[in-house]
Amino acid sequence: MRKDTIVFMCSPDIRRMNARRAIGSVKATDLSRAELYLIDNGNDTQFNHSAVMNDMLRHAERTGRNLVILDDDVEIHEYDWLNRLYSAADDLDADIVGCVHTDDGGDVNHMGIVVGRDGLTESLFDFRHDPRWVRNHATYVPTLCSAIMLIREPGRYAIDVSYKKYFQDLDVCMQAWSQDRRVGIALDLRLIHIGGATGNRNPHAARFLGEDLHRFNIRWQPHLDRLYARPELRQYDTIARSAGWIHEFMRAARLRYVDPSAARAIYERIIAESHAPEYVAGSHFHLHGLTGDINHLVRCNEVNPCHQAARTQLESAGVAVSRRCMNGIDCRSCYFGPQAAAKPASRTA
Amino acid sequence: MKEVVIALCTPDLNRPMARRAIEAVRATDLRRAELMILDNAYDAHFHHPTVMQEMLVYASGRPVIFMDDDAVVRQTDWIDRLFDTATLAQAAVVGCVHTAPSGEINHTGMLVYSDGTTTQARESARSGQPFIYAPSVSSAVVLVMNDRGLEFDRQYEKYHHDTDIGIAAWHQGQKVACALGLEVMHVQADYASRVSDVAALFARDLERFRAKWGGYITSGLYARSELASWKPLAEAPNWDGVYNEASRAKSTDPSAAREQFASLIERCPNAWHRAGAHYHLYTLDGRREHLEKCVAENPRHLKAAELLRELDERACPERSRGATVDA
Repeated sequence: MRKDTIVFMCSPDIRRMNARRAIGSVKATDLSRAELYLIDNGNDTQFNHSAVMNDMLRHAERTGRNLVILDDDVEIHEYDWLNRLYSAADDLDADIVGCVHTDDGGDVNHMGIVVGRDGLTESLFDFRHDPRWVRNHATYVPTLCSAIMLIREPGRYAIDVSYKKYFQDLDVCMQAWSQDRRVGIALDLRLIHIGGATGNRNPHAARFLGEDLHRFNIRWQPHLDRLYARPELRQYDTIARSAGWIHEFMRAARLRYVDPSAARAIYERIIAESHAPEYVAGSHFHLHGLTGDINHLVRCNEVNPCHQAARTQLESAGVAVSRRCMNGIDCRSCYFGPQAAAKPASRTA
Repeated sequence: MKEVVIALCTPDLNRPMARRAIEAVRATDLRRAELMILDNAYDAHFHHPTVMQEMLVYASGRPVIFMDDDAVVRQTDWIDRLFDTATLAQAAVVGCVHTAPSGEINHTGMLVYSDGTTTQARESARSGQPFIYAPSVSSAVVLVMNDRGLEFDRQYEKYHHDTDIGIAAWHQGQKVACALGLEVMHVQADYASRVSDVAALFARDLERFRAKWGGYITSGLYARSELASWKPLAEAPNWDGVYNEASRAKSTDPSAAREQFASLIERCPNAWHRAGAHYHLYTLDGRREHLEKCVAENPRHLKAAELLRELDERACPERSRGATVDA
């Protein structure tokens, strides 16, 4: 019997360090039921990920096998990952299955994506799943990122090649739900997903994101009532109806010059309610711009020492900078400093 | 999407020969091609003809360059050279010159004899063109123009599917050529050295090939003007086949084997085969003259030379030792 799975990864250059790590990690796992197909497009400027994914989906269909799509910026360190995906698919009776994505520090990036009724999408990362819909450490989600995605019965699905770069993965998940099939994740399977290894280098990425989101909404917004009426997905309807912090943050940034008081209210709400340090720090920074209160810059620096603009302005104003990140980039590890420092104190208390 | 797909099959992309092959390809000019690596992770049910045919379908009309993981390309413009030959020769299937690691040419094409057996051939240019036409070429590096309706025949277990697609091209009125300006290092028979039943596999696939193409090989293939220079070669005996058959007959019918080896010595133009035949005759008859003739035909036949020394020692131990000391 031929192997039942094609594990497929695309890279602009398989010699890149992230691709080497991704390939190396997959090769070190159990591939007894899979063939690994790598496409190196040689930094093709005309490369269309959706088209290549769809070609491979059709190939899997023709050859009677299932497809696992992987990005070249992931790392899998679970030897039995493939069987785990299949187990989750069986337990959930799902056609499309993913897993929990973490950054390289081990913190969760996302574990599924909610399609919002405002036309935006929200990654799940601290969601408490309804235990009634958890099956052997796996549960249902509205959509998934294709950095890792098992697709069973590929003949049911098509990757829409009109997406330039983004949302084709969410689209295929929506196809599943619209056919009364299911989509889920293995909650106990984690992979490292750096994210943006290719997109961040593409000067058109932001435009593609906007255009693809628009395309996605035209196709699927009319289906959201039915989607969130599914018993497995009702738990996400609240999120779908409320904008996430990133969207609030972006909305405030846009409102800042139109309605400063509305923007100020949003920033204050983010500071009060959000636990995402980058948005809290950013809100302080913008509140300084709106109010002139330098304490906001101090708080910004305390929460996020990577915030170069806050640090520069503080130094210009002659204020001692309490925390200083010298990495020169948004290194992220600084975020965890205050949290790590806070934990022992709270335990003592 | 790029215009060409390179399909490289391997049981394990981490094994050194595959790494070498992949790194070599990646270091060349891939502006017009995407590289697809198919790692079957030592699939016991891997079937090369099926995967190659699947890749033709996958490519949706785009040309496909198939590569084995024991072939190393060194010329950065190798893809252009394959396509230049396809254009110049108006060929649907294009191979290249295969060399051993030492640089010696392994083969430039596949010769199909009139009896349907095959061998690797080292034909070179006669017309000053940078290519030659060939009955077929090896799939270790081969460009298949994927818009001509050519297919890999899945009936073959492991061998002859590449020879088959070349003959199929000629049969459909198309052409097969070898790009003489492109050399790849091809470490052959890595697979064969690891598989115990490779001879039986080869023989079964050969029978399939003969059954399918026997009629065309004798009646149509060498009527093509492009293959005229191959015709005398094809009509001569396949000395590889004669040699192997006589070798096999040694254990079942020694007198028939003697006759076949004697006939080969008389008719075969290849000194390597004649030397081997003499050696086998020695193993059948034990006559010293066969060893002497073997070494005369092929001075590098080490076993024959060693046996001759042993015979000399036995005949005259003192002299033999003295000769050794003197040497």
